[in-house]
Amino acid sequence: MFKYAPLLFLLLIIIGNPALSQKRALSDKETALFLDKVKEATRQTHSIESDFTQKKEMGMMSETIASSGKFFFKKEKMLRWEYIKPFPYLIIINNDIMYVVDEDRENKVNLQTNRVFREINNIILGAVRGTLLNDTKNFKTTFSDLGPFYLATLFPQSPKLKEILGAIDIFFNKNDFTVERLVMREASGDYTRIEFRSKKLNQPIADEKFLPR
Amino acid sequence: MKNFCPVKLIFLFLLTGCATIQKQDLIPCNAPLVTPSMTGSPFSDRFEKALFKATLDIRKNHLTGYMLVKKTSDSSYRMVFSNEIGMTWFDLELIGEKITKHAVFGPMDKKGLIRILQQDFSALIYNVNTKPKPKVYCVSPSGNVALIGRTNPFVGYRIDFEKNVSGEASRMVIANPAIQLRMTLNLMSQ
Repeated sequence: MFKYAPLLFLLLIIIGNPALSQKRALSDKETALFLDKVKEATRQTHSIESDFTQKKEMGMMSETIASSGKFFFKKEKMLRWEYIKPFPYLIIINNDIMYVVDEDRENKVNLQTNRVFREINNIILGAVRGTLLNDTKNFKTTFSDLGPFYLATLFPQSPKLKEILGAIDIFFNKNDFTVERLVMREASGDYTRIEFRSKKLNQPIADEKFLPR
Repeated sequence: MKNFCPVKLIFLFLLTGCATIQKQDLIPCNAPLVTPSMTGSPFSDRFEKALFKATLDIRKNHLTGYMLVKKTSDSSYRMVFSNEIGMTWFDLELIGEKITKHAVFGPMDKKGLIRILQQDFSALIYNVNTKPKPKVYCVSPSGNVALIGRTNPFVGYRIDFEKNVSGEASRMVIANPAIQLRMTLNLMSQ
C-alpha cells in the first residue's frame, strides 16, 4: 500500500482546485457538450509537453512547500512526471512498465502482473486522455463554469482513494480544453495545487524520454 | 499481565537480539558537561521551523519527500512528512513528551509505530533532555555526535547528528534496528 500511495496521489494531481466563488453548475446539456469537447481535444492531442509548478498548502501550519518540474505525455500510454526543484524525483509510465526514481533508488513495476498498479495506471492515463471524466464507477463528478475555466470536481468513491483525498478539481482551458490547473484536497484541509505552464501540444517527443535516466 | 505470552516474549527477544544498534564506531565523548548544543542539533532554543528532505525506510517500504518541523508553542513541535507529490504520510505533534496524531496515512497508522516515532522525535528534538535520558557518544573518526537510547527493553534508537562546517547538524539519521526503521533528514531551509 505504501508504494501505491504516491501514484494514487499523482492521479489526483493529474486530474484537480479549490472552489471559486463565481462558479455556476453546468446543465446536463452543457455537460454533454463539454464532455464532447474534451473528448475531441483528447482525440486530437498526440503529445503534451509542459512545465509545472506545485504548491502544497498546509493551512494549520501556515506553510507552503513549492516544487516544479516538467511533464510529458505521448499517446497512447507514455507519461513522464519529472520534479526538478528543489530536488529530482521522477515517475514514468511506459506502456506496461512504471518507474519511480529518486536520488537513492529506482523502482520498476510490471503493470501486467500487478493489479493495483494496473488500475492506478488506468486512472492516471485516463485522466491525461480525458476518459476519466466518464468514469462513474470510481468517481462522482460535478461540472461547473468558472468564467475563464470549466471545472470538473471528482469525488473518489473507493475507500482507498478516500483515505488519501477528499476531492480533485480539474480546471480546463475554455479555448483548447486542456488541463490548466489541478488541486487535490486532503481531508485535513491541506491541498496541493499544480499549475501547468508553457504547454506544447503535438510536438515530437522521443520515446527515450519515457525511460529513466 | 493478562496478555503476557512467554513464547511471544522469547520470539521478540530473539528478533531484536538479531538487530542491535551499531556501536563499533562510537567512543565516549570527553566532555565535562553534555548539552544539546554539543550534538550540533538545529533544534536549539532559537529554533522556529525547518524544512528537510526526508527518507523513511521501514522494512521493505521506502518513503521519500519533505519533512517540515515547526515549533508551535514553547513546549510543542509539529512534524509533517509528505511525499513529493504532496500527499501527507503523517502529521504529528509532539506536546511535551506526548504525541498527537493530526493525520496519518492508513497503513502507517499503527500504535507501535507511532510510539516509536514519538520516542524518536522526542530524542531528536529534546536531545539529551529527553526521558529516559539517552547516552551520548562521539563518532570516530568524523567527530560527530550520536545519541543512543531506548524507552523499552526491546526498541532502542541511535540518532546521528552530522555537522556541517558551521558546527550545526545539517543531516540527521535516526535508526531503530529492531523494526528496521531508518529515517534521514537533510536540512533544506530554516
